[in-house]
Amino acid sequence: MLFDDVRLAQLEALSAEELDELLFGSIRLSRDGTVVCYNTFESRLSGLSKDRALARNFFSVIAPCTNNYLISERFMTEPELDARLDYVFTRRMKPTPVTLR
Amino acid sequence: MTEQSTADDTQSLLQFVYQFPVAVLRMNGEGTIDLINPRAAALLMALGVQFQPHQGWSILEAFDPALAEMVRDHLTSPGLVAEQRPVERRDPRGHAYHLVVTALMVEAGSCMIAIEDVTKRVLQERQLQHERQNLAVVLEALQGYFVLLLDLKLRITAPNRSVERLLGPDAAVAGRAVSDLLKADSLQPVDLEVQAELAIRDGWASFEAEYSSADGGSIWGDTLLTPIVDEAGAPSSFVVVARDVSERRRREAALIDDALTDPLTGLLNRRGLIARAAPLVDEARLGRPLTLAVLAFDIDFFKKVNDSHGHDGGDEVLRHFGQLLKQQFRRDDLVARRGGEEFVVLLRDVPVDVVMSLGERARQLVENTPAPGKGGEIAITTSVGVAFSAEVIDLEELLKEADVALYRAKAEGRNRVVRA
Repeated sequence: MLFDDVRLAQLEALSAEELDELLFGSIRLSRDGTVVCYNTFESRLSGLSKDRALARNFFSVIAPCTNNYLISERFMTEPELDARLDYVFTRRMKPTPVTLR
Repeated sequence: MTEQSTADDTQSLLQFVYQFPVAVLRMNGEGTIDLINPRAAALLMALGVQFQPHQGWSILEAFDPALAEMVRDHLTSPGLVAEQRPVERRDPRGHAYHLVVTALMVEAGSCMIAIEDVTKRVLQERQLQHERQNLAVVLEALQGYFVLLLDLKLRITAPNRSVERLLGPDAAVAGRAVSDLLKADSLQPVDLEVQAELAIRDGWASFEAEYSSADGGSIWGDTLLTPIVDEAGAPSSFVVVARDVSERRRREAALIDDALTDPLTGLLNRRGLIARAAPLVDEARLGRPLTLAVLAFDIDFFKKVNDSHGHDGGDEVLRHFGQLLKQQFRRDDLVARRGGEEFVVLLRDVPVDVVMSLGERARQLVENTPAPGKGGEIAITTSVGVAFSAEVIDLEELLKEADVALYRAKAEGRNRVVRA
């Protein structure tokens, strides 16, 4: 599965182990933003171990850089969401351009 | 320190810094932003900044050109470049952000920029300002009401027109205790501190109070006192709203007076006498010895006056008689027209010999002062019956005794004072 081609519905069907085999970062969240799955790729990139990520709120604790109307607000308010966005993550405080889906 | 614990410490540190409530980034002289915390990224992305790590200068110039200039000037000298600099920006949606920026040259060629988002605070203050202005407009427009804002010690916090309009130009002075506005010797005094405590306990306190007005008179205010509470629920100030009910009270007082007053003479009528005498009777019942004298007056040959001078003449005589009695007796004495041509005076705590001499003087005054009539003066005399008791228990009894004495005065030739 490639980042650009994969459909979100396909990702939803994968198990945690299958997510770990992806070659892009993948974070599964519950409706209120709690991290349910945090795959290996993402963990390596961010420097954040899985057990430190799981069960925390993604927008306020794990990735506060996403806490604005562009990302967290859309996630919390829009019932259906499938968007693509160029963004900047601050992995270990270094500006890291990313593309989000 | 094992490698693992160092790694753990680093993770903890990262997590701690991630939560930092201020946006922070670091830029070097070439314009490379090499460190940026999550909040800064969130903010810059929200502002629609096209973020390229090597384009620090263009990012800074787009953000705040003057600041970019100041940083350039400071590149070689460590120290504070700008402190708490207000910057206002709009995001692509048009929403305004109020930011406060501090820039610091950490060392030559390395600049740290901290940005604090104070939008919420600014908007709250603007809202508060707006509400204050609204209140000012309302205060100006009030008619027949006044509104006052007080601090916790019940002192006026700001003057306003509504108070000036009702109580006069110098009434609402900031810092003045609101109790100063109350009339000093009011017959219905109010303890504002007690009312304030009630207001805090119940959420409001309602009472009528007499306020001094500029012309030396007073205004009755139907008053509502409410506390304003802060976020923690503790009272922080008070609001007073008072409605001018002076007219209503005057009318009520007049109504009461009308019921108890004889319209012709202005004296108490029969009902009024009983009403005003009631407290005295109560006192007597409580066992407090009461010295009372009753003087019962009856104008001699009043029927003849009516026949000779008509009802107008009769009325004139009655009015005149009432006046004379008022002249003779003190304000505290009860002087009443019992009905027809009968009058009664109640004297309290007057020794019996003084009562008799007062009665005699009244009789003389009536005899020597004819009533002015349309067709000429109308001469009259009066009979007086006196009853006196140093230990009154029953007022009715005393009145009856006076009547008996009055009857004897008539029988013995009229125009005289007889004691029971």
